[in-house]
Amino acid sequence: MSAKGFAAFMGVLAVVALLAFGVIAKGEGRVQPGDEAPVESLPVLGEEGEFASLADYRGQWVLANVWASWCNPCRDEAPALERFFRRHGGENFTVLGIDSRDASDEALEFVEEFGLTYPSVRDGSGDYAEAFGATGVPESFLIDPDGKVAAVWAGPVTEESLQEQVLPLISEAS
Amino acid sequence: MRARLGQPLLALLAAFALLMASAPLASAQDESSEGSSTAATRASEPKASLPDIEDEVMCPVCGTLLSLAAEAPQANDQRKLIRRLIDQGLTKEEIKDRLVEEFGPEVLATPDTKGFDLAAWIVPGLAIVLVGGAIIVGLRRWRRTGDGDEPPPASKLDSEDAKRLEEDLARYEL
Repeated sequence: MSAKGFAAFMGVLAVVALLAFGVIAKGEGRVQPGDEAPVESLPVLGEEGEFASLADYRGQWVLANVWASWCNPCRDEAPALERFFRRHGGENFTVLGIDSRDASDEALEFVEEFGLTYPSVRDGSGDYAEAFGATGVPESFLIDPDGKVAAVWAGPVTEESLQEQVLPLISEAS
Repeated sequence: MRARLGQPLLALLAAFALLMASAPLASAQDESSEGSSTAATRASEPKASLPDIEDEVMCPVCGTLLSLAAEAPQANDQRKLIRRLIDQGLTKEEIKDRLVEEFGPEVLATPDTKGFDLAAWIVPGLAIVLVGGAIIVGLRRWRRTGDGDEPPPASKLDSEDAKRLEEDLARYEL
């Protein structure tokens, strides 16, 4: 093969490799049950200077709920989540909001409007939600006491789904 | 010849170097103005406006410039935040800084002029210089080879061929 032919071949190979990498990187997708949940320390919404991460909740079940104040389905599920947290939250279980791609003032108004008492972390860039493979809001991920994903909900959770799918898992462990 | 060829290349490289030198300078000016952002300096700057800022920041959820994200709820919240910051008397740069705090550096439509983001400015500039240089070199070579490719002078016809040519030409005479 001539030098020119080799250079052209390498050029084509580089373009194909780049395209393949793009497709593979895009196709990583949402975390699945059994996967390790991503951990990142993020500012706690409404608590100046405080940070929290999933690692702080090791040994507990955590329902990580990706939400934003501008998202209407999040408004639908917020009361159900708060009621479930008040009933079952404690040493064994908590809800952790991940306020994603949201303005913090609007997020605080949302928290006040729905009287949310569970903590939320700020994920303004949406990078943490992306680490879960979330493609929108709301999405929820139940994390087991070992930090592994136990269940995934793409879309809003309801009173029924919490009772039927989350409660048995967290009760079983306790 | 070599000197003549080098001059335009040198000029291109000098222009590129000047362009690159001005980027960190502009960034340094930004930083110094940040440091001394007092009411006096704010008063001397033109009042920030929503359309001006909308053209320079992204709507993180929509993935477009904020000015192009017509009625997306997240974009409306972002506009509300910008209006509030304008009302507080913040300058355009201060507002952009606040947006970065809220949504991360991806909210800026233009990359930073320091760190890894500097590559986004340097690489296209360098590519322009290289392509420009290649075009100049190519044109020079093409002209030079063109000079040497003149057709050789026609050899004289012998008397027999000349006679036949004249007869042929006479036949086609109108």
